[in-house]
Amino acid sequence: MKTFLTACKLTVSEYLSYRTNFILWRLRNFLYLFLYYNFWSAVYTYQKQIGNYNKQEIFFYFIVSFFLSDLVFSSKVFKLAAYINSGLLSKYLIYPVSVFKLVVAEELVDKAFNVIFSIVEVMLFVYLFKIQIFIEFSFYYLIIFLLALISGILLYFFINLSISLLGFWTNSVWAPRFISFIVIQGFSGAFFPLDILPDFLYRVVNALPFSVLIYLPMQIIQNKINFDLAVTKVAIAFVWVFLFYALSSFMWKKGLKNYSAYGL
Amino acid sequence: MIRTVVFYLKLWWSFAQKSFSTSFYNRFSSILFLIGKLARTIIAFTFFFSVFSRLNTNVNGYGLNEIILYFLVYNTLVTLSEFLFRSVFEFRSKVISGSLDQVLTKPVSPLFSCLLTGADPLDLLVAVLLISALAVFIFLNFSVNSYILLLFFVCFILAMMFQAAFFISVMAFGIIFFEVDHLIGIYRDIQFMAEIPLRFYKPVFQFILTYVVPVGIIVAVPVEVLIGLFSLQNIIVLTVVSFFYFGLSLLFWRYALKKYSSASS
Repeated sequence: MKTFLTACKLTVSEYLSYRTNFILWRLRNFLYLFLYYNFWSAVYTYQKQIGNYNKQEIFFYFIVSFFLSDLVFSSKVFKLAAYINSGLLSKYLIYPVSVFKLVVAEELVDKAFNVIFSIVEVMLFVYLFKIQIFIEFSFYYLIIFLLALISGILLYFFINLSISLLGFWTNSVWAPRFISFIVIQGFSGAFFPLDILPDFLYRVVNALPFSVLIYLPMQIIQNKINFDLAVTKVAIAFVWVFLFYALSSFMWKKGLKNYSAYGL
Repeated sequence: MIRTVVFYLKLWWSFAQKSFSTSFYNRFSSILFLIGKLARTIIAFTFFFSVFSRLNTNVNGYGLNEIILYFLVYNTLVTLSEFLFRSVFEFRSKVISGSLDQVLTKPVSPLFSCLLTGADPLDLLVAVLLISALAVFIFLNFSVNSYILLLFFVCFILAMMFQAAFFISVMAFGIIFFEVDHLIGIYRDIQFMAEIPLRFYKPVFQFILTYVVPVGIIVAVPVEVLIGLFSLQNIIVLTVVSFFYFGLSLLFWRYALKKYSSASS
């Protein structure tokens, strides 16, 4: 708890030090909602239904997926790559607290901040643009939705961790991060519902682990998937989580043997 | 005048060579970046294609072909401006570290040094692919004569001028407020609205995207020239808007330089 509180204080002071940066960051998020609202409004002016979504459903999708994206994709774990490359990891290795505890604490604080601000932004947006959001699903659906969301958060953390740990072998982690960012964001359903894609492409993208991050929880919350299939998909999602957990553990162990703190 | 232009062209080429050799040295990273940039364009294209191929109606003269053309022109414009003005992305660190001092003391225009000396070869490769796709797409689907092409190039250059104005303003803002990245991010987000035809939007947004944040008009006019929907009025608006914002950005830049305190050095 102490680690968490310290990380919380550090994050707040970091945000307050670069206030313009912070304000523009949040403004950008709000703008994102506004832009997608206009984009979909323009498209739905000329057609009532696109794929499996009518106007109301697509508004619901982009607003809720915006919130989920803020929750799932907010991450500080990439700092680990910088620690490894700069040799700063040595300092953390001799700390009485595990470096992973610190990273997880920062990650949680970052997510908490994102969620708080996202809720305010979404509520403001929904109020200003008079968008109606209805969520109606059973208790079991709620449980399976939460499990899907947790699997998404864990999966993104371990994918990100695996990429950051590449820092043990290369100085340029930024390039793999860039490409993974593009692919993950593009195929996670964060920008658009994946079933809007042509059928053959949808099948390919849906088989990738990234669809678990946003698209699967959205499918559940919008009742676009039956309960049995949702349970199966969430179970598969946890298999992906385990695989990436195993990969990152393996990389950490191998990487530590390779680590020479040459950046110091 | 000509000697100055030749001097700066040589200087640009020398910086571009340096930038190209850096990318060539980091081959593995460069290939990944290139794949990432191409993936981004392909994903965006797939999304737009998926949405607009489902529209049954032809909206104000825009069918699927026109929308694809719009997408290609938009992406070519954005990629070419990122190729030319890439060094702006490093401008914040120059201000924060104080290394802008070194730029200011050199006998070269600081605007040139900060704006044009980081040409990115990866963006150039993506731009070449986009231009090729654009040329083939126009050749296969539209009938354009040399006058139309000339007019298209003039409009495209005016659009690039607006892009330059934006990046100059961002640097000026960076000097005063030490912030560049999110501002570029905001502009990129707003540019997203220009990825679909201006005519799709409600009149109020058409007005905003034409006069207030003219990202809409700078893509719309070159495309409308190609598909034969252009009006003289829109070309005049594009010309006035580009020159106005370019002039304004130069004034803002000069103002910001006067405010620069070199506090970090």
